[in-house]
Amino acid sequence: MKKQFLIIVAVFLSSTFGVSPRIMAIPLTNLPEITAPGSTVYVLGDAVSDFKLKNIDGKIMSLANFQSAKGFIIVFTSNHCPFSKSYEDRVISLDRKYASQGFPVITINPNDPEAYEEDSFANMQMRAKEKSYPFPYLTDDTQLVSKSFGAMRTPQAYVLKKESGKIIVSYLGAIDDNAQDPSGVTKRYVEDAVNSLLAGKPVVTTSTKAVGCAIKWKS
Amino acid sequence: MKIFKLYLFLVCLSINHTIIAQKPIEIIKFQDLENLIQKDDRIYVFNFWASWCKPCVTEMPAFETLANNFHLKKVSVIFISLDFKRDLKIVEKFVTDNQIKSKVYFIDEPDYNSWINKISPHWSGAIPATLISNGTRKEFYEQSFDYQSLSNIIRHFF
Repeated sequence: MKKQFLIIVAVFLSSTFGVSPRIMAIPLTNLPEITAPGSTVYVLGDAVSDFKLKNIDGKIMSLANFQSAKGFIIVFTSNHCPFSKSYEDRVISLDRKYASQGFPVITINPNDPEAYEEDSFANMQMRAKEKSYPFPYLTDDTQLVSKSFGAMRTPQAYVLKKESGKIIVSYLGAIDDNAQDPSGVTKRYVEDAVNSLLAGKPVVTTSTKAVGCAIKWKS
Repeated sequence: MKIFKLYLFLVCLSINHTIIAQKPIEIIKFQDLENLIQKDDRIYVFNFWASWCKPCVTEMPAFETLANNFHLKKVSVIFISLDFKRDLKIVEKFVTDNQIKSKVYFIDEPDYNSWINKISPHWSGAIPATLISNGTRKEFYEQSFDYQSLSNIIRHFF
């Protein structure tokens, strides 16, 4: 709890430091933060193209590396976002539970590290080491993969299933229905989707809206 | 010594005073927010933000200026914090430190999917987001504002 508090304080300081009351008093002319990705984004039922992204171990990784997987849990996430931090342990649990059943977690950090120093490659490596991430944590330098997925926030999850040689989007949205408190969760969207797929049944809730931190696109 | 004691007493009193003077943030549920949105006595500008959200914090002065400049034209700004409930103290400190004059509510509805579509089906869930309503007409914007663009938009409602 103490650590959690410290993290929150750190987030608060890092995100608001420099925004002093003095600055608050003058009109600002920052440009609108438009996070709209390209027009051709994946929707439910689409086949996704494989990608090549750099993992924190420096190796290039693609979906083709997981020959025996039945599907994937892709989570766009970041170091800096309080929502991502709040979900971090839950994402680790997802991998522990489902990687062995054929649905490994792959996390992708789409943020421009120029905007958030915490999301730099070195900081991604550090965080993954601290928390012993059991899954890949990929950096999307060009942000093209994130844009093709239509990711807009962190965290944002996609459940993909392999079907006759294709990799199909089967669920997209939030991980569950309570970002703030794991004990308050009543609907486990990602788990439910994977459980359905494992049972050979259709996914019931196929999409939800994920509230989180807007992805910072490179200009 | 007596004077020192008196001084201490006064210091304590002033500290107490500042604590009492801190603007409390009211915790509301979605139903309360919906009731506010239906109000038609003024133009209400609802800004959804969080203390950790950089672009939200950056645009707050524009909303404060709007509230100040358009007060006589019956425009009120209401900030709706989407911070985590465990961070309520941080939000309160933020509001005090930055001398936010407009009303700040904290919405205690962690299941976002149960209500964000009711604010607008176009809301992806990203913040900052702003809803302007006069009770009958509603406009939703998932974007950041500067004062110029905000004051231009508010004129739609006159």
